[in-house]
Amino acid sequence: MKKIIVVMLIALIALTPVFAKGDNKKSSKATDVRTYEKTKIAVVYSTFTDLLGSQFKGSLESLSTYFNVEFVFVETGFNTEEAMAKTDAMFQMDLDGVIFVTPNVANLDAASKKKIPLIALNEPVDEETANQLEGYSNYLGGVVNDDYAVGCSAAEALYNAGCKNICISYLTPGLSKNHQDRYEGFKAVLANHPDMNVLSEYSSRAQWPAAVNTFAAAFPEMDGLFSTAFSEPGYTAIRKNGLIGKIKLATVDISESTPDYLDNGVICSIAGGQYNKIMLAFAALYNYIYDGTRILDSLGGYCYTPFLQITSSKDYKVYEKYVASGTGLWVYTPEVIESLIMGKNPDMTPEKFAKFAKSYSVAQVMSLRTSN
Amino acid sequence: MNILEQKAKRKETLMDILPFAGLVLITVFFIIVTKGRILRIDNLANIVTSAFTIILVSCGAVFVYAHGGMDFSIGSTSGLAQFICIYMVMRLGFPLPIGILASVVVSVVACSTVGLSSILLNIHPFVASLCVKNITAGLLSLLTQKVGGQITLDYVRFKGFNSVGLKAVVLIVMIALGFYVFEKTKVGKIQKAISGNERTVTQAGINVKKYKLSAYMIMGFCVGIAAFFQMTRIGTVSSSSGSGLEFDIMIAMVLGGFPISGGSAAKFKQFILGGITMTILTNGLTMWGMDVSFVSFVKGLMFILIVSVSYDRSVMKQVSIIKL
Amino acid sequence: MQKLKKFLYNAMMTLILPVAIISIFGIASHGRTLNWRMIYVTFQQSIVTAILSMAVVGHLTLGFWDFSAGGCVIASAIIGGNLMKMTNTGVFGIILFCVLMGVALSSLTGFLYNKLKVPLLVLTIGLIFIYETLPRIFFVDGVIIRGKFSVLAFAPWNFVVLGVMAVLLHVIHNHTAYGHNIKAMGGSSTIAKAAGLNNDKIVQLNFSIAGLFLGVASAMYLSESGQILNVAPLDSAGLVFSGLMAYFLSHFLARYCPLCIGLIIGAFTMTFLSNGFVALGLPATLQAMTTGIFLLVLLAYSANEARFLKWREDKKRAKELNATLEGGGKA
Repeated sequence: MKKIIVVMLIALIALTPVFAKGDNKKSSKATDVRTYEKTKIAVVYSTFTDLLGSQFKGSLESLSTYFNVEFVFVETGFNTEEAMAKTDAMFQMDLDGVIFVTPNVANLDAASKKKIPLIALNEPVDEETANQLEGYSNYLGGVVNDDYAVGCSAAEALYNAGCKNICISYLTPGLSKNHQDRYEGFKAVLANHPDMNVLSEYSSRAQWPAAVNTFAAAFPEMDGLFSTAFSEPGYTAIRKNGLIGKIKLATVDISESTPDYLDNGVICSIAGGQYNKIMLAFAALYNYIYDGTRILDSLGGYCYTPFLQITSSKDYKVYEKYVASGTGLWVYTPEVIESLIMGKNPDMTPEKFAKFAKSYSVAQVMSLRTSN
Repeated sequence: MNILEQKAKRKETLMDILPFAGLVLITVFFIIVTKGRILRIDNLANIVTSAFTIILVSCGAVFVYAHGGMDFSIGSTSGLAQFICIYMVMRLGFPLPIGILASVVVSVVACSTVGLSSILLNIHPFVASLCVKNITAGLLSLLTQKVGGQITLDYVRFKGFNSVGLKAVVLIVMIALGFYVFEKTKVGKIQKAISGNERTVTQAGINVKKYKLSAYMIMGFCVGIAAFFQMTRIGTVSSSSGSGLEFDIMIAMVLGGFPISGGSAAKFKQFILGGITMTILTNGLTMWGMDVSFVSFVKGLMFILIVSVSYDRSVMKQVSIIKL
Repeated sequence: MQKLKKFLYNAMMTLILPVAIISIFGIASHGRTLNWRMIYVTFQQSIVTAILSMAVVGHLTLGFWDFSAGGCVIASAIIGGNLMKMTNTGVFGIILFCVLMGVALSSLTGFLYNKLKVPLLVLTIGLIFIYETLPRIFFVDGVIIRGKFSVLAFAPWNFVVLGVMAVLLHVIHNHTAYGHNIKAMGGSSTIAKAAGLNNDKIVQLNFSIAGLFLGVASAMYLSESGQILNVAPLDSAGLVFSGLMAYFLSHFLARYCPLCIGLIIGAFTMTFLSNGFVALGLPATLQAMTTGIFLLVLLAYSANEARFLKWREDKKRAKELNATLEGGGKA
C-alpha cells in the first residue's frame, strides 16, 4: 500500500506541470507578436490570493499576449527568510524586468548584480531605505497611491458625518507601508479636530471582524470607525453587532457588500480600485525595456495615482463593470498601455504619463473603453 | 557477522544513503526542469546564502531535537534578537560586536526559558515553546511599533557580511564545531541517550537537567548568530522578521531523515542534509517558473514523497507530543 | 445534599477562572467591560475556537498534533461554500459540504498516517501545503457567501450548533467504545494493542471524528466571515492554536466539569483576555504576551500541582512527627 501511495505521489508531481500553466483566459486578442520581442518580467508580492493580488495578476496576464511578455509571479508569503530565498532564485531566471510591490535594499542589490530594472508599487518604507535606493541605477522608481491622502479624507468624512467617538482598526505596523500611511494620514487630520475622541485602537494582522466585535462590546458609545482596510467579514461583524444605523465607517477596499452598506448609510467614505497602478507600473517598466526610457525620472522617481471613491450603489455598479473586471475586462486595455510607451507613441511625455495616472477615475476608464 | 547482523548493517547503510538519494533525486529533477540554470555559479552562491540560516540554526537545534525536545519559538526569538541588534547598532550607536552579543544573549535567554519550563516545570517543550513564542512575538511587535513599524539597516555598511565567502567560512566552522561536539563529545552523546531512556541516564549519575538546558542554550547561541546574519541579509527588521523559521527547521529535520524523537539514530549530518535539500526545493520550485498556485502543492507532495521513502521507521517510537 | 454541595463546589471552581478574568478587566477598565453585552459578544466570538478545540481533543488524547487541521478548515470552508453555491442548497448545503470536506480531508490524513507510518507531525507539515493549495486550484477567488446564508453566525443558531457539538463530544468521548479506546491508547498504545485494540482503526476513526468537528468549525467560520480567501503558505498553521490553548485551559478545569464545558470556558476565557486588552486601550501585542505568560503560569501550576500538594503534605506530616517527638514519642 505504501508503494502505491509513493507511486501516486510521483505521478501527481509529474502531472502537475500539465495543469500549472499560467491562466491567460482574460488576455486580449492576439496581436502580431513580431511587434514586440519576447520578454520575461517577474512580479513579486506577498500573496496573490487576496483580492488585490488576484487583480494584479489578472490585469497583467491580460497584457501578456499583446506585449509578448511572460510574467512570472513570485509569491513571497510572510516568511522573510523564504521571501529572500525566492527572490534570489527569481533573479536567476534571465529576467528583463521586475515589478516589486515593496522592494528593500537587499532586493535592489540582488537585481543590480544582474542589471535587471526594478519598479516598485510603493514608496520606500522609510527615509533610510529611500536614501539607499537612490544609489541603484536599476531602480526605476514607483507608481504609488496616495495612501496618506486617503487616510486624511477618511478622517474628514467621519468629522463631516458628525462622529465624535472614534475607534481605529489598522494593520500591524511594519507589514505594509500603505496601511501605515493611511493610519498616519488619519491621525494627522484627527489632531486638527480636538472634539473627535479616539476611544480605542486595534492593530492586528487584518482581523477586521475581531476589531468590530471588540469595539462593539466595549465601546457602545462608538459612532465612527476607521479601518485601514475592510472586507466581507468586517461587514458581517457590523451587521451581527447591530451597528447598522449606529456608526459611520470610513475605510479602504471596495468589496461585494460595499453597495449595501453605502445604501444603508454605514459607509461615509470608501476608497479602492487601486488595480490600475500595476498596469501603469508595467507601462513605466516597459518604457525602459523597450528603449531605455526612464519615464519616471523627471517626475522625481514616483508617479501618483489616486484611489477611486464611490458614494452609492449606482457608482458601485459602474465600478464593478469597468474597474473590478466584472465583465472580464481589466482597467486598461493593452492599446491604452501601448499609448503610454514613448517609443511607440512619440506624443507621450513623462508629464502626460503623470497626468494620465493622476486623472484615474471611473469616468476615465469608461471613456477609454468607449473610445476603444 | 551472522545473517541478522549483515541484514542490520545493510539496512543501516540504506537508511544512511536514502536522504542523500532524496537530495540527488530532486537536484537532478530541477537541473532538468530549469534547463541547468540551477547549477549556475550565481545560483549556487544563492543556495549557500539561503541555506546558511537554516544550517546554522540546525547546528544548535540538533542538540535539542536529539533528546526529544523541540522549540516552536525560534522564529520569533530570531526576530526579537534581530531587532535588539539593529536597534543597538543603528539607533543607539553601539559597536557591532555589542549588537551581536546582545542578539546572542536574547536568543539564549528565550531558548533557555523554553528549556527551563520543560525541565523544571514539567511542561512539554511543544507547549512551553508556543507560550514563549507568544511572548517573544508580542514583544517584537510592541518594540517595532514604538519605532514606526520597522528599522532599516545601512545595507552598504554591512554588505561584507553577505559575502558568500564569509558565510561559507562561518558555516564550515560551525558545522565542524557542531559535528565534533555532537558526535564526539559527551554533550552530544548524552542528548541521544536521554531520548533513549532518561531514567537510565539519570541513574547512571548524569545530571540530565543540566544537559537538556545546555542543549537549549547551544541552540540559542546558534539562533543569535543566525539572527545577525539574517538581519544583514534582509536589511530591515519588522514585526514579521524571523517568522516561519521554526517550520523551516522542522522541514529540514524531516527531509534529512532525523528522527523526531531523537535517540541513537540521530545524526548531525541529517540536519545539514535536510537544510540543503529544503533550500534546493525552494530554489528549484521558484526557478521552475511554475504557476504560483501550484508551487506549495508540489512542495507538499515532494515533501511527503521524500519522507515516505527516506524516513527510518525502525527507530520510530510512539511520540507523544502533548503529555499533560 | 452532599451531591448538591459537590455540584455547587464544582460549578464554582469551573467558573472561578472566567469570573476572575472578567473581574480583573472590569476593575482595570473602571467598569467598561463589566456588562452583559461584553460577555455575550465575547461568548459568540469564542464559539469557533471552542469547536476547534473539540476537534483537537482526540488528537491530544492520543498525543498527536496535526498541523494540517488549519488547512483542512480553510479548504473545507472554501470548497464546501462553493459547492453550496453551485448546488444552491443554502445553509443546509454549507453544513453538508463543509462537513463532508472536513471528514474527507481529515480521514485522508489518518489514512496516510496509518499507511506511511511516519510521525504525524512530519506528515502534516507536508499535508498543510497541500490542503492550503487545494482550494486555490479549483477556486482561485476563495468563497463569498452573503446575507441569509450566513445565518449560522447569528443567535440562536450559533449557540444551537455549539450546544449540539458539545453534547456530541461528550457522548463520543464518554459513552462510546471509541472514547474509552482512545483514552486507553493515549495512556499506552503498546498496552492497548496487547489488550486487543486495533490501533490503526482507532486512529482512523479519531481522524474522521476530528474531521466532523473541523467541518462544522469551517461552516461556522465561513458563516461568521462571509468571505474566505485562499491563504499564503503556512498561514493556516496558527488557526488551530487558539483551540489548543483552550484545550490546555480545559485540562486545568478537568476535575470540576465535563470536558466539553471546560473547552467552552477555556475558549471564552482566551477570547475575553484578548478583548479586555483592547477595551483597556492597550496594544493587541500586549495581549499576545500576556496570553503566553498566563498559559505558562497556568500550565506550570497544573503540571506541578501534585508535587506541590505532596510537598505540603510532607511538610504537614513532618510537623506532626516533630510535635510528637517533642511531646514524648507518642504518634
